[in-house]
Amino acid sequence: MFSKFLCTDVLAIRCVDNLIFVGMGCVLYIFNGNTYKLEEKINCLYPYNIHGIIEGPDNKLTVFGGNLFCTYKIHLKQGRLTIEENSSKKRLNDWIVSAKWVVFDGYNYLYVLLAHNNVYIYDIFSECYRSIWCEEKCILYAGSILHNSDEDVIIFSGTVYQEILIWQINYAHHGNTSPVLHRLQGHNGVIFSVIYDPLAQLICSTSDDRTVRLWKISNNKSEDSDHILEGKLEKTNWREINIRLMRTMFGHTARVWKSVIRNEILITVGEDSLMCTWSLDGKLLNKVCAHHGAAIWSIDVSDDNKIIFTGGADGAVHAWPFVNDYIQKAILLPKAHIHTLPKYVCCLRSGNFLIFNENGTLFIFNNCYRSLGSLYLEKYNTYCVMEVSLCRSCVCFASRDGYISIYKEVVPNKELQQIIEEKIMDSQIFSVQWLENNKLVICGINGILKIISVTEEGLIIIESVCLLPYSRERWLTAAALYEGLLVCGDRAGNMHVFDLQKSVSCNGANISETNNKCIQTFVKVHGKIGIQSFIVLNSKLISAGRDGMLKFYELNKRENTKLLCTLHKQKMPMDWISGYLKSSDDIFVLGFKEVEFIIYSMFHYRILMRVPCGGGHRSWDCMLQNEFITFLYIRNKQVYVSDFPLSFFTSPVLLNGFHTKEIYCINPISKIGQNNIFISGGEDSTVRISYISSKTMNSNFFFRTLNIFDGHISSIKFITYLSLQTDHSYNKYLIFSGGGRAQIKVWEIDIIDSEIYLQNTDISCYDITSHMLYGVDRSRKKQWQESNHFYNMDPESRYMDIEVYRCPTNLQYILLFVACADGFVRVFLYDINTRNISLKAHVKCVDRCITKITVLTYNEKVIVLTMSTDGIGRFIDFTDIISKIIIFPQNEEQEFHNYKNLFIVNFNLHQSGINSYDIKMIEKNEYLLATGGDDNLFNIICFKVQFQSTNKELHISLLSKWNSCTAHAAQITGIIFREKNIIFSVGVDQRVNMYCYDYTNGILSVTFLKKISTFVTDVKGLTSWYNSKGESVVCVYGRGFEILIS
Amino acid sequence: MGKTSKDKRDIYYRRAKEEGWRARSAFKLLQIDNECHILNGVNKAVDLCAAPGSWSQVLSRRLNENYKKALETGNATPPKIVAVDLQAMAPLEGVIQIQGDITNINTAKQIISHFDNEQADLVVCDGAPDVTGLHDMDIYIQSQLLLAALNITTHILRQGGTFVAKIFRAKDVTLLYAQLKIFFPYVYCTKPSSSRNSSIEAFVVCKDYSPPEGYKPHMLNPLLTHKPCDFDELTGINRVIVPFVVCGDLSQPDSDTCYPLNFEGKEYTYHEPVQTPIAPPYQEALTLLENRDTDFRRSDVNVVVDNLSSMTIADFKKQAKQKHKEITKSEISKSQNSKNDDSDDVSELDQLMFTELFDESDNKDKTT
Repeated sequence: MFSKFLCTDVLAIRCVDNLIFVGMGCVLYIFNGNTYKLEEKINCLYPYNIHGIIEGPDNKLTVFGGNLFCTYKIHLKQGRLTIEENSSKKRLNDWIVSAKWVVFDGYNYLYVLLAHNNVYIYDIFSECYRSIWCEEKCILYAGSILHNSDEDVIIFSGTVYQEILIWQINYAHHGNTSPVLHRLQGHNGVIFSVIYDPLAQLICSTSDDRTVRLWKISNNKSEDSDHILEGKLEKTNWREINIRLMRTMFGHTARVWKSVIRNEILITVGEDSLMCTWSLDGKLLNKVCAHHGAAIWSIDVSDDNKIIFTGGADGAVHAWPFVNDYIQKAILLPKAHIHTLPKYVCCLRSGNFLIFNENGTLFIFNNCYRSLGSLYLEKYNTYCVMEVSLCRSCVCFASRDGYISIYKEVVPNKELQQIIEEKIMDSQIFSVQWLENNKLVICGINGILKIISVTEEGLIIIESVCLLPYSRERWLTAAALYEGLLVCGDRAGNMHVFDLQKSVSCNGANISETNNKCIQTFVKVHGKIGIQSFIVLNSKLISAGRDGMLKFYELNKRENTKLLCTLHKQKMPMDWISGYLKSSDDIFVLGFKEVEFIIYSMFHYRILMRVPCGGGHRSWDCMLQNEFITFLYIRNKQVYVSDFPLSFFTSPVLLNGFHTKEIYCINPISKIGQNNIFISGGEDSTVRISYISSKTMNSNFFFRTLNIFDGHISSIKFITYLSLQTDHSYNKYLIFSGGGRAQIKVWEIDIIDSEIYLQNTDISCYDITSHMLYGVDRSRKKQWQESNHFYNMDPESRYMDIEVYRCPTNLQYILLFVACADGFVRVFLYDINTRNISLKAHVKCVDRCITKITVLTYNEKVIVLTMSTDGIGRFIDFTDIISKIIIFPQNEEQEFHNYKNLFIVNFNLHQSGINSYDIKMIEKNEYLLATGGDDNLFNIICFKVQFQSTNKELHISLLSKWNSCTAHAAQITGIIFREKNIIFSVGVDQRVNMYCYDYTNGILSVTFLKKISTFVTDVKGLTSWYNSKGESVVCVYGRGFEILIS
Repeated sequence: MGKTSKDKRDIYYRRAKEEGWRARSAFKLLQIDNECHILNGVNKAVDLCAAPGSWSQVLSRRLNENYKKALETGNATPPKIVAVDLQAMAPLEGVIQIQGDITNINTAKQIISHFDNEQADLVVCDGAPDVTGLHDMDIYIQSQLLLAALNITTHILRQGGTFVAKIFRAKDVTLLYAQLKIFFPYVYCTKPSSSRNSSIEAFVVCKDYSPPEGYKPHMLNPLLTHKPCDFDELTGINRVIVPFVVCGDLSQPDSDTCYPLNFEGKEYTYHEPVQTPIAPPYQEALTLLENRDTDFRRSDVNVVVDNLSSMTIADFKKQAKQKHKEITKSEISKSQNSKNDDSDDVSELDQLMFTELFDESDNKDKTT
C-alpha cells in the first residue's frame, strides 16, 4: 500500500534561494520559487510528520519531525533539480523542537534542541554526538538556536511554564549542563514560538495568552550606545546584556503559533487563521484571514523579502505579497466650493473622477486630484439621480420632471459633453439603471419602466416598456439583462422577471400600455429592502442584497419554459452587498460591514480589502482599471480616494486547501473524464464538491474544490446521495446532508459533463429545503424571551447517520432513516415531485446514542439495523411503519415508544460504541457485517435473514463470526469492503490495515495482509472509488484526507 | 443558546453540578472504581495534577466510607489524601494540598512526609496538557506527563499499590503500555462511559506495583528514556497487548446521548457550576474585547501596550477611552459646522437595523 495524495496540516515551510520547501505529513514538497510549480516530492520521515526544515552549509537541507531527522543535498542547476540523501534517518530519544547548522573551525555541526530543554550536538564528520542540558529541566513547546559568535551558541527555550529561558552553549567548554542566563517573564500562557532577530536586536515570542511580545536587548555597560555597530552585531555578549519587555501586541483572537521578522516588519500567524503584519514600533498594518478559518501552522518569507508563504490546517499553501504599506491613506480632494457639499461621486474609464454637488455643479478631477473644470446642471440642482454607465464613459442624470441627460467623456482630461437631453417620463424619475453600454432602464412613477437605447447619433429609442407589479414602494433598485430576460428588483425587496423578446418594439415617448408582463416574481429575496445588485456569471444570475447574501439562479431551459430556478445562496462576510467588479479570472463582491467597505473575492472565498470608510449609505464608486482598484467615497462632506494595485490581492495557491476542520464524510458521486468528483461535509458546516484528477503532475494528483455550499448551522455528520439522472453529458443527484442541531438539508446537484477541464460553473446546486427538529432559532428565541424561567425540556439532538430507502412501489417517495443521538430513529419522507420533506415517525430504539444505521430488505420486509454506543446491533422491523407512511403520506408524524415486538434480534458486537461498519451481501439473504468499535475490536459476522417456516416471522441467525482486538490500538473509525475478498480498516491510531476474508463451509476467517500509517489525524472514516485508470483507491478522512492505493 | 444547552448536551456535566462535583471527570473515577475496584482498602492516596479537584473529592468521599466501614469491624486509621498541582486549588476538606511540580524530588519527599514516611496505596493522575491541535505533539506531551507521573509514583507508591492515569489512545500508545508493564504486571486500558465515545482519552489502570529487581527510583532524568523503537516491533506479533475494559454498565447514562432535561422523571432545576473555571491564559485578551475602544478585532482599533514606558494594560484601556472621546468630540464639532450631515448618522442607524436582522446568522453555532 502506498500513499498517492495527502491533504492535511502543513507544518513546515522554508524558502531557500529559489526553492520553496513545504512539509506536509512525511512528504517534502519542493516548489519552484518563480513558477510555484511542484518540482519534486520526497518521502522523508515516514511515519512521522515534518515539523521543521532548515538549510545548512553546502546545499544541505535538514528535515525534522517527532524524534527523527534526515539531511539531503539539493542542487538546482540550469533548471534541473538534483536531490541526494546526505545521511540516513537519525532517531533521537526525545522530541525535536528546533535545529540549526553551525560551523566551527570549518567543521559542520547540527545543533538539535529537544523537548526536555537539552541540546544534542551532532558532528556530521565523525558521526558522533554529545548532549548538553540546561540546568532548568522542563518541557518546551518552542525554541530557537542562534549562532552568536565563533564559539557561542545561544538557546531560546519557550516553556510550558510561561517563561522564556535563554542559555548558552560554549563549544570549547565541556560541561554537560549550562546555566540559565536570562528568564523572560510576562506571558500568561504556554510559549508557542520564540525567535531572535539580530538586525533589530529583538526577541519575539508568541503565546497561548493571544499576545505577541517584543523584547529589546540592550547593552548594560554603555547605556547611551544602544546602537551597536553593525559589524559587531553577532558578538553580543549575552551574559552582559539587559533584556526588557518592549511591547505587548494584541491582534489575534486565538493562540499565536509563529512569527517572522523581515525588513522591519513582523508577521504573526495563529490558530484564528489570521496573518497579522506589524511594524516594529507596534502598529498593526494589516490583518488577513489567510486560511478561511483554519489554523495557520507555518510561515516563511522568500529570500528577496517579496513573498510570504503560509501553510495551514486546511492543507493549503498560499503565497502573499509582502507589502509594508498595505493600508493606503485616503486622499482628500481639494474643496472646490467651500460651502457646498458633495452629493454623488463616480469614477470614469479615463481615471478621472466626477463629483456632483448639492447645488447642481459637476466637477471633474483627474487622477492627480486636479480639477479639470466644472459644469452647472440647472435641471438637476434640486433633485437628481446620477448613474455612471457600465463602460464608465457616460454618466446619466435624471430629474424630477422626467428628463434625462447623458454626458460623455469625449476628449480625455476635458469637461464632459452632453450628448442627450430628453424628457422620457411624465413623472419624476426614481431610478436609472444601465443594462448595457448604451441601454438603460428608467423607472418612473407607479412602477413604469422604460428600456431605452442610445444611438451613436445621440437619439433615444424606447425599446420597450414594462410595469413593475404593485408594491408598497414601486420603484427599481437594481436591474440586469440575463438570457434575454429583464430582471428587476423593486424597493420592497421583490425580484421581477420580464420576458423582453415577446415585445414589439414601440416608438414614441408616451407609451402607457405594455404587453411586457412580468413572468415571474420572487418575493422579498433579500428581506424587505431592495436588491442591491445583479451579477451575470456565465450561465448563472446572482442577486445581492442587504442581508449579506448572494443568491444564485439559473434559467431552466430544459423543460422548454423560460423560468428562473433558485439555486443555492452564499453568505458574504458583510452586512450589505452593494456591487461587484469583474476581473479576468475573478469576481470581487463589494459591500459594507459596520464602518468598513469590503472587497471580497468569489474565487478565493476571502476578504481582500477592508477600508474604514464609515459604512454604507453614502455615495461611493469602485472601479477596476489598469490593474488598480480605485475606491472613491464621501465621508464627512469630503471626498476620499483609495487606490490598490491588483497585485496586493494576488495570492497564488501552491497547494489547494480543503475543509478547515474535521471531515466527517466524503462520498464519491461521479467520474467525469479523468476526474473523480466527490462531495464532503464536516465540522466547518460546509458542503463541498471537489474533484481529484488522475492526471499526475510530478507524481502528484491535481485536487480542487469546485464549490462550497453553506446553509448548515452546525456540523455535518453525513451526506448521502441518490442519482436521479445520468447520461453522457448531464448528471443529476439528490443529496441529503445532516448533523448537528438536528438539521437535515436536501440539495439537488446538476453536473454538466464538459470536456476535460471542470469549472465551478459546470455545477448547479439547488438548495431545496432544510428541516430542523425543533424549528429554527428565530421561533425558539421568542419562546425563550417570553419567560426567563422557561426551559425547553427537549434535548438538543444530533443526527448521526442516514440511510436512504426509495420505495419500490412508489418511486416519487424517498424515505430517510436518520440515526439520532437521543436514541431515536426518525423517518422522513421526501417527495421528489413536491420537493417537500416531512418527519413521519420517531421510533425510540435504545437509551443510547445511535451512531450508525443501515437498511436491509427481505421480500417485502424492511429491516433497519441500528448500531449504538452500547455496542449492540439491533435489527428492527420497520415494514408496517413504512407502509403506513406510504399509504397515508399526509398523516402527521407519529411517535413510537416501546415497540418491542418490532425488534427482531440484538447482536452484542462491542463493549462500547460502534464507530464504523460496512455490510456486504454474499449470497441471497446472507450478509457479512464488519464493525469497528471504540473498544479497538475489529468484528466480522455473517448472518442470514429468513422467515421462520412456521409462523412467517422474520428470523435473523448468526452463522459465523470472527474478531480481533489487536488489529488497532485505538478506536476503529472506518471499515470498508472492496472487490474480491478485501477489507480495509482504519483507526484513530492512524493505521490502515488491509485484510482478506474467507468464508467457506460456514466458517469465517480473516487474514491480515498489510498496513500503512496515515497522516490523517482524528480519522473519521474510509471511502473508496475507482480512478480513471481503473485503479481501486481508498480514501481516509478526518483532519484532512489521504488517498491510498493498494 | 440558552444556559441550559450545555446541560442538554452532556448529562454528566449536568449531574456533576447537581451532585456537587467540581468537574464531570469525577464520574470517570467513580466508574473506573466500579469496574476495577481501585479504591477498595485504600487508606493513603495521591492525586497528581489535581486541579480543579474533582478526583480528590471522589477520593475523599470514598476513602472516608472505607474508613467508616473499617471502624465498624475494628481499629482503623483515618484516610489521608494528598493533592498535587502546579496551580493553586480551592481548599477541600480532608485533602492536603501541595502546590508543586511532579517532576521535582522535593514534591515526592513532601508527599511521603504527609504520610508519616509511609508510601501510598494509590496514585491517580488525570492531568492533560492544553491540546494544541498538533496531534503528534499533543500525544507526545501527554505521554511525557504520564511518564513524569509514573516516575514520581515509583518514589511514593508502595509495593502492590495501584496507579491510574489518563492516556491518549492514539498512535504509538503501545510504547507507553510497554513501559508501564515494566512496573506493573497488570495493566488495563479502561474507558468510563462518562468519557465520550469520540474522545481519544482513556485511562490506564495499573495494579500490583512491582518494580524490576534492583530498580532505584531517581529524578535525574525525569523521563524513562525513549529507547529508539522500531515501528514494526510495536505493531508486530510481539507487541504488548493491553486489555480494553469499558467501565460503567448500561444503567449508567451515556455521554454521547442527548437526554431531555427531565430525564429519569426528575424535575429540572438549573444549577450554577460548583466552581467557576480558573482564569484562562487569555483572560486579559478577553477583557480587552469587552470594550469597544480596545476590541482589537475591529479594524480601527490597535492594541499595542508600550511596556518600555512601563505602561500597563489598564493604562492602555484608559488611554483608548480618552482617545475615543476626543475623536467623537471632534466629529461632533465637525458636523455642527456643516449642516445637513446625514451620511454617517444614517449609516449607524442602518447598522443597528442590520445587527438585528443578522443576529441569527452570526449566532451560527458549531458546538453541537
